[in-house]
Amino acid sequence: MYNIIQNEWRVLIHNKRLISLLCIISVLLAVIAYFGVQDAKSSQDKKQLAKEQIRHQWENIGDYNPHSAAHYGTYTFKPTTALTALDNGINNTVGTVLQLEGHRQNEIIHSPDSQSLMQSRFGTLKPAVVLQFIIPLLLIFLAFASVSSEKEQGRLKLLYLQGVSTRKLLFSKTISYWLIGIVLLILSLGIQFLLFSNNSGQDLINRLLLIFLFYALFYWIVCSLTVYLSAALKNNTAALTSMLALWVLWSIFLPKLVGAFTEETHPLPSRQAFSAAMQEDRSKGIDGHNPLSEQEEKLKDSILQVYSVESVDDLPINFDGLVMQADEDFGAKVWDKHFGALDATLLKQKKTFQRSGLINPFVSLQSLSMGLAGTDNWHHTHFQQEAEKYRRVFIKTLNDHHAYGGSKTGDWSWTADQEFYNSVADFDYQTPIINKALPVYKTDMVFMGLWFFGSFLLLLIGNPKNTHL
Amino acid sequence: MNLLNTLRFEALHILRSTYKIIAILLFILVAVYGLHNGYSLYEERNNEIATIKETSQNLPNDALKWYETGQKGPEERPWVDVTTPFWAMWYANHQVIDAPSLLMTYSIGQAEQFAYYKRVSMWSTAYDKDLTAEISNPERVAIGSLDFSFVWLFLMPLLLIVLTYSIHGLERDLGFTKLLSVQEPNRKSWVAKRFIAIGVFCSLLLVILVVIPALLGGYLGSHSGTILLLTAYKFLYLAFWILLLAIISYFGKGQTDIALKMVGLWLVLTIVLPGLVHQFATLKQPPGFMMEYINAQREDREEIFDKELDSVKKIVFEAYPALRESKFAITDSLINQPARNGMYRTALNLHMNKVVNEILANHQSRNQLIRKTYFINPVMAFQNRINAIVETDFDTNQEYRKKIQDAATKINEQLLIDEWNAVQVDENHFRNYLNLLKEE
Amino acid sequence: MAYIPENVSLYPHLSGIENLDYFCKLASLKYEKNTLISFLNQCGLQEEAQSKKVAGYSKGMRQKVGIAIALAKNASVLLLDEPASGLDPSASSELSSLLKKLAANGTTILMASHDLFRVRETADRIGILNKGNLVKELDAKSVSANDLESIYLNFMKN
Repeated sequence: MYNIIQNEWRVLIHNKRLISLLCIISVLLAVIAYFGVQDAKSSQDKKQLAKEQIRHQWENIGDYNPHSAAHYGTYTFKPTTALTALDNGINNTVGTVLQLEGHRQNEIIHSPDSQSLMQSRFGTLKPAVVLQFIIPLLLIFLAFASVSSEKEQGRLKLLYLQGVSTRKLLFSKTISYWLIGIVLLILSLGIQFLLFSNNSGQDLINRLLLIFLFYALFYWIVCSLTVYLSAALKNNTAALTSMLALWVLWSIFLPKLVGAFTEETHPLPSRQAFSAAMQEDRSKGIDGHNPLSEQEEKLKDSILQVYSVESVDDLPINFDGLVMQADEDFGAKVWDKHFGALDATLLKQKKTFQRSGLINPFVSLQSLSMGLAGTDNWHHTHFQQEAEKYRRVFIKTLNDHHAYGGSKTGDWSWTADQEFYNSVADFDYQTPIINKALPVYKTDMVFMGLWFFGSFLLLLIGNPKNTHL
Repeated sequence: MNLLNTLRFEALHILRSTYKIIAILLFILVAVYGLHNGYSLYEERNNEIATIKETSQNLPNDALKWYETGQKGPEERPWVDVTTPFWAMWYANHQVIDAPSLLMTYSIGQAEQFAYYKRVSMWSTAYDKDLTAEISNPERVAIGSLDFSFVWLFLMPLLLIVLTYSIHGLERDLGFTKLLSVQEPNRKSWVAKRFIAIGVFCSLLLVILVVIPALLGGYLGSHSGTILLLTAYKFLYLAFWILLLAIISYFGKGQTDIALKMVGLWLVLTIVLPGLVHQFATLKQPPGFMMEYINAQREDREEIFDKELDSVKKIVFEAYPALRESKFAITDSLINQPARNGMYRTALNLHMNKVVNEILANHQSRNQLIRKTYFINPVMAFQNRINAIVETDFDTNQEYRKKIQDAATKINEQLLIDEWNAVQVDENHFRNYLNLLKEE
Repeated sequence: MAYIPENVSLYPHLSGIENLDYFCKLASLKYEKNTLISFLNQCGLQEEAQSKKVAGYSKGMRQKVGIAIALAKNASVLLLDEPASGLDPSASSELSSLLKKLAANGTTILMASHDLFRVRETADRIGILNKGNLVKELDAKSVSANDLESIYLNFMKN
C-alpha cells in the first residue's frame, strides 16, 4: 500500500501544472488565514475600544436619576471570537450592537452587510470558504483519473500481477489524495492557531481539533467517492463530470434550495405580527409609566400593608421604583415566552436543514464548521440571552435604587451619585465552551459519521467495473 | 455553416445527452423557484404594508372622533390633549413606507437586510433601533437567498459549462479535429459559432424566464423600460461568460482539461474574487458600530438639553427664520412649556440631521471603495447593477433612510411653528397634519 | 481534397446520416436527405444502420461514413491513411472494391498501407516509402503479391 501511495505522489510531483496549482492554493490559504486573523484582531480591538468608551460615559454620568439612567441605558457589542478568523458564519448578517435599557428588550443591530453594497454571495473569503468549496474541488481534480488512467494506460495489469488487490488499490489511491487535503487543512488551522496563540485556551484547542476532524472526514468522503467513480465509470470525463455535478449539487444547489424550503415549512412571524402579539401580552401587565392598572392597585395595597401606612406618600420608600420593577419582571416573562417561541422555530428550521445532511454531507460540514467556530446562530442567541440576563440585573439595580435609595414616591428629580453608578458592574460576556453547543450538532455529527462509514464500506466491498481486467 | 444549422446541431448535441437535459431541467426548476421566492417576498411585504396602512388609521380616526365630540383624548389618559400641536401631531401617526418594487421578483438583493416601514414622529431619526429587518433565520440569510439574480449570475455560468465543456473537447478527445479542419479550416469561427448557438439558447431561456412572470404579474407594459434594461444587463452578462468560456474551449486540450479550466474560472469569479475583495474592503474600512450615532443620541442630546434656552433658540431661529415672526418670539416672556420643549427637540433634530448625513456619507465612501474593485470583481458589479435596477440595493435603502430623516424634520418644523404660535388644533388643522407628508 | 484517417471518429451520439449531414454543412455543402442516403449507400453502409447512433458502429462502419463524407465533398483527390488496419477481412475487401469504384469515376486516390496484399489488389500504382523517401515506383499489374513482398523486404533491409 505504501508503495502505491509513494508512486502516486511521485507522479503528482512531476506534474508541473498541478504543483503550481497546489502552490497557489497554499499561498492563498496562508494569505487569507493571515487576513482573517488580522480582521478578527482589529474587530476585537475596535469593540474593546467602543466598550471602554461606553463604560467611560457611564462612569461620568454624574448625579443622575436612576430611572433616567435606565433610559440612558448602556450598549454592548457582540464579541468577536478567535475562530471568526477561520469561519465568518453568520457574522456578516447579524448585528453587533445591542442597546440595553429600561422597559424594553432591543435587538442586536447594525450588521456589517447592512452597511454597504452587496459584496459577495458566498461570504468573506475566510479559510473556511476555501476549505469547504475549493479544496474538495481540488481533490476531485486530482483524483478523477486515478484509476481510469491506470486502466487506460494498461498499468492495472502490472499492478495485479504484483499482487495488489482491488481493495488495496482503491484505498491507497484514496489515502494519497486525502493526505494532500489534510496537509492543506493543517496549514490553515496551524496558521490560525499560531497567530492566535496568545489566548489559546483549552476550548480553542478543542474547537480546532473538532474542526480538523470533521473537515478530514469530509475530505475522505470526497476522495473515496471520486476514486470509486474513477474506477466505476467508463472514462475520465464521466468520472470528472459526475463528481463536478455532485459538487455543484452539494455545495451550491442544495443548501440554498433546502434553506429556502425550511423557511416555508417552519414560517417565522412577521415583525408586525410578532410585536403585536408581544404588545398584547404586555398590555395585560403593569404599565410602568401609566400607573392606573388593576395590578398596580394590588401591588400598592400589599406594600402599604407591609409598611402599615395609609397612602404611598407615607411610605419611607419610593413606590415608583417598585412599580417599574414589577413591570420589568412581567416584561421579562413576556419576552421569554415570545423569544422562546421564536428560538424554537429557528431551531426547527435548523433541524430541518441539518436533516438534508442525509443526502448532502456538505451541509453537515458547513453547519458544524460555523458551530465549532462559534459563529452560528446558537452562539449568537446565547449572547443575546446572556445580555438580556445582564439587562435584567442592570435595570433591577437601578429600579431598586430608585425605590430604596432614599427618595420618596413621585420624586423624579432625585439623583443618585456617581459612586452608585460606578458600582453597577459592566457586562462581560464569555463565549461558552464547545461542549454546550454540541447537542445542537448531534444530527450533523451522526450524518457525517454515516457518510464516512458509507464511503469506507464502498471501498471495502465495492467491485467497480474498471478494476476488472 | 449558417446559424440555423449550427443551432440545429447544437440542439441535437444537447438533446442526445441525458446529463445535459437534466442540467437544463434542474436549472429551469431552480430559476422558477428563485422567481417564486422573489415574488412571494414582494407579496409578503405588500400584505404587511396593507396591514400597516390599515391599522395606522386607528389613531387619526380616534382623534377625528374627539374633535367631533369635543373631547381632548381618551378617558384613561387624561394628559392627552389633541388640541395641542404635540398630541395632534402624535395622533396623526405618520408612516413612512418603502414600497417594494414589483421587480423584486428578479432580485431580492439586499432587501431582506432592511426595514421597509416605520412610524415617523418628531423624535425619529434615520437610524432608529426599530428600523430592523423582518425576522429571519440568520443562518439561512448567511447561506444566501435563492433568488433569480443568484440563479442567473451564479448558476447560469455553471449551466453554460455543462452545455459547452464538450465543444472542441470531444473532438480533441476522439481525435477528429483533422477531419474538422479538412471540412472547415477556420477553427476560431467554428468554436465561435457553436458558442453563439448556446448563447442563443440561453438568451431564449432568459427572455422566457423574465417575460413570463411579468406577463403573469401584468406589469410587462408598465415596467417595460426597466425590464428591457434588466434583460439587457443579464444578456451582457451571458455574453461575458460565453466569450470567456469560448476562449477556454478554443485553447482547450480535451473535455477534462476544458471542464477543469471552466470550473476553475467559475470558482475564481464567483467565490474567490468577491470573497477576497470583501475581506480587503473589511480590513480597509471595517464596518462600524454607529458610535457616532450612539454618542449623538446620548452625549450630544444631554449637552443640547443642558443648554440655556437662548442659545438653543439662536440655532433654531437660524434654521427656521419664519419663527422670528411667531407669537412667542414677539412676546418673549410668555413662552410656555410645549414651546420650550419644542425648541430643544428641534435643536436635537437639527443636530441629528447633521450626524445622519455624516453616517450616510461615510457609508458612501465604503461603497466607493467597493465600486473601485468592480473591474476585478465583475460578478458583483453585475449583481449590484441588477439590484439597483430592481431597487433592492443598498442605495435604495439609503434613500429611504433619507426620506425618514426628512419626514421627521418636516414634522418637527410644522410642530414647532404651531407650538410657537400657540395654535389650538381643530379638525381642519389636524387634517393638514395628516397630509403633511403626502404633498411630496 | 478529402482525407480519411486511420481511425475515423465521429460524434458518437449522432447517427451516421446526421454525422454526414453535419460535416457536409461544415464544408458549406447542401444536400437533400435522399442524396445523403445515397452517399452512404454508395459507401456500402446498410440502410438500417444509417439512422442509428455512431456509438454502436464498428470501425469499418465509421470508415464508410468517413468515405461518404469525402465522397460528398466531390473531392478529386482522396488521401487515406492506413484505412484497412483493424478491419476484418470482409470489411477490408468491401473497402477496396469501394475505392476501385471511386477511382473508376475519376477520383485520384492516395492510400498509405502496410497490407501489401490489399495494396496489390486495390491500387493502380504502388510506391514504396522508406524513411520518408520514395524508393521505388511500380505498376500494380506488373507484380504479384509475393513479388511485391520480396521487393519491399529488400528495400527495408538496406
